[in-house]
Amino acid sequence: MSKTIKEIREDLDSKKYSSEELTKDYLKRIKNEDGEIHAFLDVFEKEALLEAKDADERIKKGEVSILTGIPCAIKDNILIKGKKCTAGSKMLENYIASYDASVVLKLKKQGVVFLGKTNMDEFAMGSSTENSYFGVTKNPYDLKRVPGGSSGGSAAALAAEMCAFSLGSDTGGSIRQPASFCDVVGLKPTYGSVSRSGLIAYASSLDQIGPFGNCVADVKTVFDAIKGKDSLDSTSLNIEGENNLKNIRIGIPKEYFEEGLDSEVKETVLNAIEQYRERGAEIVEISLPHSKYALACYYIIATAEASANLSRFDGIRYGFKELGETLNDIYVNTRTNGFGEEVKKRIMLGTYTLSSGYYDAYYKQALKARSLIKKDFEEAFEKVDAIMGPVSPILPFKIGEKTEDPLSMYLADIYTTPINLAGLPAISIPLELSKEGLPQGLHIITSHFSEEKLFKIASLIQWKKI
Amino acid sequence: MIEKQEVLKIAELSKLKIEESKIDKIQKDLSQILEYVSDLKKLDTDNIPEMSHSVTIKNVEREDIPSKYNGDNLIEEKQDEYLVVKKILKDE
Repeated sequence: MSKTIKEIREDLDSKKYSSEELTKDYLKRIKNEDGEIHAFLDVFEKEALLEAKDADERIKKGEVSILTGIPCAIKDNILIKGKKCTAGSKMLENYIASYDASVVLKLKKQGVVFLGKTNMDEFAMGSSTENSYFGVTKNPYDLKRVPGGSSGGSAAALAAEMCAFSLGSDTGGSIRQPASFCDVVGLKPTYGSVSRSGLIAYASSLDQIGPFGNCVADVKTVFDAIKGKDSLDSTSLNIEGENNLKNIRIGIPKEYFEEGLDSEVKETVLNAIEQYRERGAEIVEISLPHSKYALACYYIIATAEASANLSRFDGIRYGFKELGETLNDIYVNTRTNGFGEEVKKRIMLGTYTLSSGYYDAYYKQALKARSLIKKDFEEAFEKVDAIMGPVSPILPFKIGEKTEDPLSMYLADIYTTPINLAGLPAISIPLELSKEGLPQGLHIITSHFSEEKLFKIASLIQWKKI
Repeated sequence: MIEKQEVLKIAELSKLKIEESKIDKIQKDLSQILEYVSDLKKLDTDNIPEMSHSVTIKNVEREDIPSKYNGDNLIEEKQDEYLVVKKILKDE
């Protein structure tokens, strides 16, 4: 059933099968497979079939958009009106969204079928989906291993053929790393190209919604459907970047192939880059000298923003509430019992680096480092069209392997976080499986708002799934 | 290594309570991460501007015209003209 959107579109339009039949197939697959994988937190059986019937009516009348009748899954930090939106947290276990996220509204207008909401690390804080209050999601390629995170549910749902595409969010790699771990394509768009209205905030200057797809063309189709300026998000923009492509120059940052990179991943990624050379691309070594500071910079900025964003969960305004003798007790009891351990740790880290006496040494210094990291990329893109490297320094790891050592988990984000700091678009492309049969990905990065160029370059090689 | 007192102070500022049995673990985790991010202090950032946002954006302005918003669906319970909310104060 692993069909591309284009194939499904043709099948639906030629009445090979209806959207209702297709939706029933996916729902059946979810029923059979998801007991073990646990990609979904909520499945909308009834509503999905109604949406499919509506889509079939539209198809009959010829009122078709590219995504009409195509079934998808949505990460559970993106609001769908009238549906629970938990962000993987006990804090929002019973929270029901009162409006649609702008991306959901855009998909609804096209007549997309919503199959359900997918599991994630609590408030998108994690790289393995092990931090969900509702339990771990398993990697469909090896049930003993993690699917990556934080959008692990969306990646696993697609990889296990339980939807045709899915949406996730990426703050420091949360789309690209699970895409790499689950053998699907994942896009982190340029910051500002997709509206964040209706996305539960983690770190607002880094968060971006993006698609998972079975091929580059699918990811492009969904990106085109959700992008654009939105009056509800003042950071969203309509900008066309540099998308011309003649002779391709690809930059390979030497810092991305140093110590800490798994030797098998390194070999696979270099082989993929070699394929570009064979296709006539010029490969040049470049340097991003501030790379080694990016992860530290990310964890200061992301946690600082998180500590402010998550202050709204106080027992008064949203979801979970635990009473106490005084108002302060209500805040403390609610937050202490509503948040999971990792979330509390990040709130505390952010509170610390923003607090008096530490602000200059940590937060202010990180904002300056962020300038230098962005400048590295700007200088690189004066010389090359795209930058390539690994998505993750390691293969999908075992469930429980890194939960006791937070720093080793954070290091999984070493190649993905600089992209969010600089606000650039980047894609993860599935490469061949490792000797053990585990997925690994190629990371392609281009300049701001040049997703078109990114798709063109990503599509140059005939990847296995296209 | 940050001090235990400091951990408790940050928890208080964060409106969180830490169980006695978990303090050591949190102290260890926070210290490990802070040690790692302290690497940034080595970076020479004289005359480097701070960047809080990656894409240059302009202020978004619009005409200030009031519009009506129907938030009835946000209200869980209503009594006459009053909102019914959960009690936050204890009975005397």
